[in-house]
Parts: sequence; structure tokens; C-alpha cells
Amino acid sequence: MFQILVAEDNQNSAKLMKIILNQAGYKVVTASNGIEALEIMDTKHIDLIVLDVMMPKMDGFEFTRQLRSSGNNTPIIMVTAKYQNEDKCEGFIAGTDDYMVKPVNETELLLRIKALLRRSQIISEHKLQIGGVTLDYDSLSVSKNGQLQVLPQKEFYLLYTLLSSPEKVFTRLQLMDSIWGMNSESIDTTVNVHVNRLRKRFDGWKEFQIVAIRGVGYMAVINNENK
Amino acid sequence: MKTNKNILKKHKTIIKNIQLSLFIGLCAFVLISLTTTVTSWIFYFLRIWGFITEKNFRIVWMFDFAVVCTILGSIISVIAVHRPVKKMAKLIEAMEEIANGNFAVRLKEKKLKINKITNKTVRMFNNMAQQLESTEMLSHDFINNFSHEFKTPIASINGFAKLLKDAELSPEEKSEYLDIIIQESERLSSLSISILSLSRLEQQSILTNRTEFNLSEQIRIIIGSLYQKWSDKNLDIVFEGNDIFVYGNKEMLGQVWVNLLDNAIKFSPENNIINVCIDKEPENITISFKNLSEAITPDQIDRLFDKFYQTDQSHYTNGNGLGLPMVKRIIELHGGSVKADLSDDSYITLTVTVPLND
Repeated sequence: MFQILVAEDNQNSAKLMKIILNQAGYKVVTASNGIEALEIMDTKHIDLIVLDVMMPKMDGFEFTRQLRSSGNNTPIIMVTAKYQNEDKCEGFIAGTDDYMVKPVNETELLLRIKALLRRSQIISEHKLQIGGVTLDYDSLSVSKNGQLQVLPQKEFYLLYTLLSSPEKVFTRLQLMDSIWGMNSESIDTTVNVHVNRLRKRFDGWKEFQIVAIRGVGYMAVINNENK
Repeated sequence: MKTNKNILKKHKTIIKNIQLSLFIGLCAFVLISLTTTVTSWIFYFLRIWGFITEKNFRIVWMFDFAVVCTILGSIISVIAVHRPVKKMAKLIEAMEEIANGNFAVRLKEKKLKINKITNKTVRMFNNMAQQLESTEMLSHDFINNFSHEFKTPIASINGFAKLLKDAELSPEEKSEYLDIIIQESERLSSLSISILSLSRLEQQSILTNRTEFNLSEQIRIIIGSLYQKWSDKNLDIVFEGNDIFVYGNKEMLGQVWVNLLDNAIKFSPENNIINVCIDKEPENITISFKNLSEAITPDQIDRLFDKFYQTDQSHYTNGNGLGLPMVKRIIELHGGSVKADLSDDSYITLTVTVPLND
């Protein structure tokens, strides 16, 4: 069970947040300013922080800076009324992982928390799990039911990228840049070719599918039982 | 011949530069001459009429001089100050008009060169009045529309909340009223954000934060990010065009595509196609969004970019009528234009034209 720290000085907002998160199955600890929040980070195991920016004694930006500079990489999602671009920039530069402007849509907040937790697990373990399928980043292997396949590097990275963010559409350019590098000499059809190879290789696998969006790009879809 | 002209020009600039000093010098000369002349004449007449003796001629002379100076000085200063004071009074009057909300007031410039300083003031004043007049946010129409857009949801929330205090409501009624309150609050929230964005845009006259970026890629990414919305209606989005680069404000332009695409998705019937095309012409880039739109009529097309205008009240809850005005403003800031066309077979195409790197 994940434990989330909610740092928010407004009592009603904090109460609302706590109820929503509890209902979604998370344990919640609250702090009403940056200093309290840092103390909690020192004493408790926290999986994710929902952080308000405008708090007394120490604001959200300062808290993030201090936390990051001490080497702590716990995912942070800022939830704040500050909507200007300069604020968002300041947030990301300070080290937040996501930024939402109040008032937030509860469903969206929960989805983003889920994505952040998933990503942080992937990053710390270097493994992706989808149903009975496991992708191991370090060994470039895909295993299912005890059967292991090792993929060529680019194919593996392509599959891993798509599956890390299921149902997110990646354009060809984005995939080229992140997997082949921006200065690569490969041509536009390289991504197509690799996707086709992946499809062939995992033809008949029910756990996931690679979908093409015409003119735009590709995305991975995870089949429902495995979500 | 040419050298003569240059010398003449040089003389003219020198003369212009010392014009004011010369003028003051001349005035001083005239004043002193006048004072001396009048004093002398008066003294002469006093002598003829026998008022001056050996003993009092110095005193009489000083007295005479003092009186003439004072009188002449007063007359001349009243004349000299009269026009500037009048102008100042006019300026103050015009400023009071502005303070009262009348931005149509303008001052007139005078043609004489001596009026250079006041002409500059007049020009700056007229500029300010012009800017105030064109700031639509200050217009009565906008303020009226705006308060109506806010008052309506607030009235609903207030009304339905009061109704909910009735203990005899059925669970279905309670649920329905609560849904309405939720809907209207969300509407207010999104309205506030839109109004803030729009007013920030209107205050800007120069485009800031420009970078060179791949416009086609930006549109592709946005189409991808809206996947859930258009796949829910079983729509197909076809994107055509090569990679085209543009020099502009990436974030603002992103907002434009999101708004236009969102509209296309919202108003297209299910199981249809939305065409997005980007094309490069010699001087411009054109980006068009085309979708089927059976509900819209030709006269509605003209009002599409009006603030708060919504063609169809059933989509009332999903929008606030500010999306297209924002698009228009952003594109205008980029030096471009946006237009809407309705075809005979009910396809609506929104075309954005952006000039290439200026």
C-alpha cells in the first residue's frame, strides 16, 4: 500500500485531498508547511508527495529544492493555484515531476499519481510488468511464463518506451529522438520497420498491442485484465 | 549647386537648435526696449509739464521706471502665459473625460513650430486615448456580457443549493440538483481561467518568447494527446503535411491547435473524419481544420469569433465561448489571421494563416 504525503496549509483542501486519496486506496499523511513536510520525509517512508506551493514558513518550491539537493528522488506532484508559466518553470526547475493547477479534476489527479508511481517503480527496479510479461531493461529481455527472449537493443528500447506509458501517443520524431538520438542518420521509415518487427515477434500475445495512429505516431495498449 | 544646398541645410539645423534661445533673447530685447522707451516718454512729458525739479528727478525717474516695468511686465506675462494655460486647461478637461470613461476624446495638434513640445504631449495623449478605446475589456459591451456569464452559473448554484435544503426531496432530485451545482462550479472555474488568459493576451501588443520549432510535430503531438477524446467518438483524424518550421511563441500556438482541434472533435458527429492540413506557401504557412458540422448555419459563421458566442446551447456546459476569440488574438499577435468557411455540404473549415519568419 502506497503512502502519500499531502503538504497543504488550507484545512479544507487538505481534508478533501485526504478523503479522495484514501478512497483510491492510498494511505495519507499531512503537513501544513514545508518544514513539517521535510520532518515527515525524514521520519516516514513516503512513496509520493502531493505538494501545494503557497504555504507559510517554507513554500513548495523551497521544499522541493531542499529535498532534491539532499538526494531524495521521491516523486512530487505540485497542486497549486499558481497558473502562470513562470511558476510552472520554477516548479520543474526546482525538481517537481508533475504540475497541476487548482482546481483539479480528481480523476485526473488520481491518474497522474498512478502514472508517477508506476514510473518511479520502473525507474527504481528497471523492470516493467504487464500481467505475466516482464521486461528487464538491463538485460534487454522479455519474459513470459518462464520463457525468455533477448531483443536487439533498438527494438527493446522501442517496446519499453511504448509500454512505460501505455495509451500515450508517441510521434515518430519523438521515438527517433529518444531511441536513435537526434543526430541519427536513420530515415523516417526506421520506426515503422522496427514496429513491424515487434508486431511480428509478439504476434498473438494477448497482454499488449501496438497501435498505429495514421499520420501521427504509435502507442501501446494494455489489455484490460492486465491493467 | 549641391554644396550650397548642404550648407543651407546645415544652417537650417543650427538655426532650429538655437531657435528657442533666439526667441527668448528677442523677447528680452523687445521688453527692455519697450520699457526704456515708455519710461523715457513718460519722463519727457513729466518734464514738459513741470513735475520734475532738481531735488526729485531721481526719485521720479525710479518711480516712473518701476511703474512702467510693473505694468508692462504684468500685461506681457498675462499675454505670454494665456495660451499655455489655455492649453493646459484643455488637457485637464480631456483627462477628466477619460477618467469618466469617455475614451473617444482627442486633442488637436497645432501647425506652428513653436508648438513642438505641446504637439508631442497632444500626440501622446491621443495615443493613450486610442489604446484605452481599443482595449475591449474596458468596453461596456464586454463588461455586460462578462457579468452575465458569471452571474448565470452563480444564480444556478445558489438556487439549487437552497432547493437542496428541502428535506422532502427524492434521492433522484437531490442527485440531479447536486450534479447541476457541480457542473456550474466547473463552468465558473474554467471561465475564470479563460478570462484571465484572454485578458493577459489582450494586454500584450508584442509577441514575446519566440523560438523556432517544428509546427507539424507540435500539431501531431497535440492530436496524439487528445486521442482519448476523438477515439471515444470513433472519429478518425487525418494529418497531412510535411515538417514545417515556424518562428513564434510555442506555448501560445499550442493553445490554438488545442482549441481548434477540441472544437472540431466536439462539433463533429460520431464516426466521421477530421482533416488537419499544414501547407507552406511562399509567404505564409496555412493550417486548416475541417470537420462535418450539420448544426451550424452561415449567419452563425460570422459571429464565431465573438467573445462568449456559442452556436448551440446543448454544448453550453462544455465551453465558455472564449476559445475562438483566444485563437484569433494569439494568431493576430503572430501577424496572421484566422477564418471560418462553411461548405455547401455542411463541412466547416477553420484556416489559420501565419506569415513566415519576419
